[in-house]
Amino acid sequence: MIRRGRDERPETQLIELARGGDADAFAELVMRHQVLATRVARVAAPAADLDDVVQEAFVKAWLALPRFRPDAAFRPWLCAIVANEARNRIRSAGRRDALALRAPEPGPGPTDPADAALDRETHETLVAAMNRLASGDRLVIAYRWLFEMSEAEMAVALDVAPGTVKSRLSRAMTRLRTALAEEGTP
Amino acid sequence: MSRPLHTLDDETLGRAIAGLDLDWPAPGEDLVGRVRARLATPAPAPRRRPVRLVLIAAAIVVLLAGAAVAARIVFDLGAITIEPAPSGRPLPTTSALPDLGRPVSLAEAEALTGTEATFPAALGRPDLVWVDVPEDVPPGAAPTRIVMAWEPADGLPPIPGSPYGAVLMRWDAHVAAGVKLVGDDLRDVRVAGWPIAFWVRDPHELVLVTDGGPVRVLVRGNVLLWGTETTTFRLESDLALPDALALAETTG
Repeated sequence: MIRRGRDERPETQLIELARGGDADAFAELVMRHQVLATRVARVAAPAADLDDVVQEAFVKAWLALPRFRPDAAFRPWLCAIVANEARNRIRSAGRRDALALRAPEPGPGPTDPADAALDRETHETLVAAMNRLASGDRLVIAYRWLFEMSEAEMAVALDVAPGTVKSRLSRAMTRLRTALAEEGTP
Repeated sequence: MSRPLHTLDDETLGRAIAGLDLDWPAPGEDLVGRVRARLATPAPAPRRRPVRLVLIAAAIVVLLAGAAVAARIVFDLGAITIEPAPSGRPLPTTSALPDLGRPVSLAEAEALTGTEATFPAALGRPDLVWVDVPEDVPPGAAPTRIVMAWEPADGLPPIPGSPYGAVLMRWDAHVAAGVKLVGDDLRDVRVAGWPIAFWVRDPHELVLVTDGGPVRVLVRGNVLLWGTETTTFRLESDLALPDALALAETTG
C-alpha cells in the first residue's frame, strides 16, 4: 500500500480544505502553482512587477475561492486571475508591454559553430516575434504550446467560450507568422 | 530549421515554440510565506477609493453650436445627460483614466451587476473587464458600470494615448451616472434603431464626476454614445464613424 505524504495530498482535497478557510492547504496550492503563476505573469505583462503581481493574484484567488466550483480545474482558473492581475498592473502603470521573454545565453552546446549559430538565431527570432505580439495573443500561444493546456483549460484561462479557443489560437499564430516575417525569419 | 519560420504551419511552428529554452523568472523569494502573511492579516474595512466613479451625478457636457449653448439644450441619454458647455476651455493634459473598478472576468461582472454584460459581438469577448458596483447605497440608487477593453488587432488600431483598440463603458440607464464631455465635433447619429446617439470625433474633454471630485481626462479617440431603454453605452476607438457604427450595431 502506498501512503501519501502530506505534500502529496490530492489537489481536489487541498482546494476543498482551502475553500473552507484552511490557510495551510491554500499555502500548499501556492507552493505547487507558484512557478506557473510567475510564468503566466511574465507572458501576460512582461513589464509588470512579477513578484507583486503573483502575490496579489494568489491573495485574490484566496478571496475568490468561495466562488470556485469544486468540479472545475484549478490551474486555468488561477491562470486567469494571474493574467488579469498582470495586465491590469500594466494598465495602471500606464506602460506598454516590453520585451521580456528572453533566450538564455548560449552555454557549452553543440560543437559545430554553424549549428549553434542557426539554433540561436532561430530561437532569438522566435522569441523576438513572440514579444512583439499583443498580450492576449502571447497568452493564447503560451497556454497551448508552452504550458500545454487542453482546449477546455484554455477556455477557462482565457475566459472565453470553449468553441472560440481554436479560432483565437489560429488568429494568434497568424499574427505570429506576420511578426516573424517582419523580423526577417531565418 | 530548413524552412523560414513564417512559412511553417501552426503545428510545426507550435512545436518550435514548445522547444524554446526560455529563461523564465523564478518565483519571488518566500512567496508562500508572504501570501500566508497576507491571508493572516485581517481584511481592512471597506474603504472609499480615492477616486470612485460610481455615485456619480452625471452629465456629458458637449460643446455645441452657439445657439444650443445659449439655449442650454440638455440631451437625456439614459445614464448620461449631454449639456452644452461654453467654448474655449483648455483641454486637459492627461489621458489616464482614474480607477475603473475591480478587474474581473465577464462572468463575474454579470454576477456582480445582475445584468447581462452585452457588448459589440463583432469585437469578440473583451480582453479585460472592470466592474464598479455601488457599495454603500441601496441597490438601484446608483448606476453600476462595466468597462470592457479590447487590445489592438487587425482592423482595430490602438486608440491614441491608450494601449487598447476599443474601450466600452456601459451603465444602467435608469440612474444618472456622472460624466462630462466637452468636444466640438458632435454629430447626431442612430445606432440599431435607437435615435439618441452621438458621435464625438476630435480630441475632447471627458470629465468623470466622482465622489473625489471631477476628474478631467483628455480623450483622443473617437467616441460613440448611445442608449437603449436599459443601458447607456460609450464606445471609444480610433475607427471612423461607419466602422464604429457597424460595431455598435452588433451589440447584443
